[in-house]
Amino acid sequence: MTQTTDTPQASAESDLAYLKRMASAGRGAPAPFLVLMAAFGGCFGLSFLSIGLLIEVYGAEAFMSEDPGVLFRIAGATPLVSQGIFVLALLWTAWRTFGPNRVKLSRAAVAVWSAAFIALITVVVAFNLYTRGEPGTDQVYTIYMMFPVLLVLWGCAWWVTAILGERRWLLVVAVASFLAAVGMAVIGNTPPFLLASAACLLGLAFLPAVLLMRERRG
Amino acid sequence: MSVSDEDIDPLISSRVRAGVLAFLSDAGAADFTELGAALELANNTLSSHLQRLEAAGYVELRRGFLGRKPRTRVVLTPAGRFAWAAHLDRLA
Repeated sequence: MTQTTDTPQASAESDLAYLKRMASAGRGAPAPFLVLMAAFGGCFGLSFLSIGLLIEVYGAEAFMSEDPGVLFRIAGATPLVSQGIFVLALLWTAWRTFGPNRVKLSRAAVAVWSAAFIALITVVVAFNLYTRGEPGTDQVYTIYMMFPVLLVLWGCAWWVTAILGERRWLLVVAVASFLAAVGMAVIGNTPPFLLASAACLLGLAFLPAVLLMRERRG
Repeated sequence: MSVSDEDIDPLISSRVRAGVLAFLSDAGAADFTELGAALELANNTLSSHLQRLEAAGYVELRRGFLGRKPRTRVVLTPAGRFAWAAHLDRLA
């Protein structure tokens, strides 16, 4: 396979090293899925954090009052703003994935992240169908299970990304996501749920995505 | 790498052509200029190797424009992916 005059063993090793170097150089990035994950974790994490902190300080009743004050109005609007930013990030991701100036994407990363996002949408639809016609309280109770499902899905995506990129710290993030899923199932429908959700979104979605993006730039 | 010469796909027996398939194996596509820079090859040399891979159906050359600049995308075909996987199996 080579035209060098080295010994067969040496030339074989040199060929393999060359192929490994080429495969590594051609490796695609998991971005722009990382941007999407950072937008999702950052926006919803800060939103949940602000609402959770206000509830901790003033109590949940303050949200229900006729004039809750400017802080509560801003915090109440953050989920809607987060949804808007997430949709914009989604559109940008689609443009960078399918548009003419697309980035070089890892085939495996595309497979795992697209599967995780499709699975998430499917689960949301399935949960909605499951609770259709049920009393509102039952619907709310079922929603508490959504977050553990979400954590498991992005835990799987981090797991595969960690193994593909040989990053041990990301494997820790994946395991933490699985453990957090169990933890969130335990504390579902209790006051710390919002703050714990914020911690998961910021620590297990936003932060790893930002660190990975910085690593690639460095 | 205890592989006899008969076992190796003659097209991939070239170090450069094997390098092209290795480079494309993950992302599946790359720009001609990016590929040339990675393989450290002159345009005409890379072009002749790509034409052989294209003739075998291992890659597809998509010529187009990015804005006003001409751009050639080199895309790994399913046949190329299969050939590369078979080549790796033989090396293993």
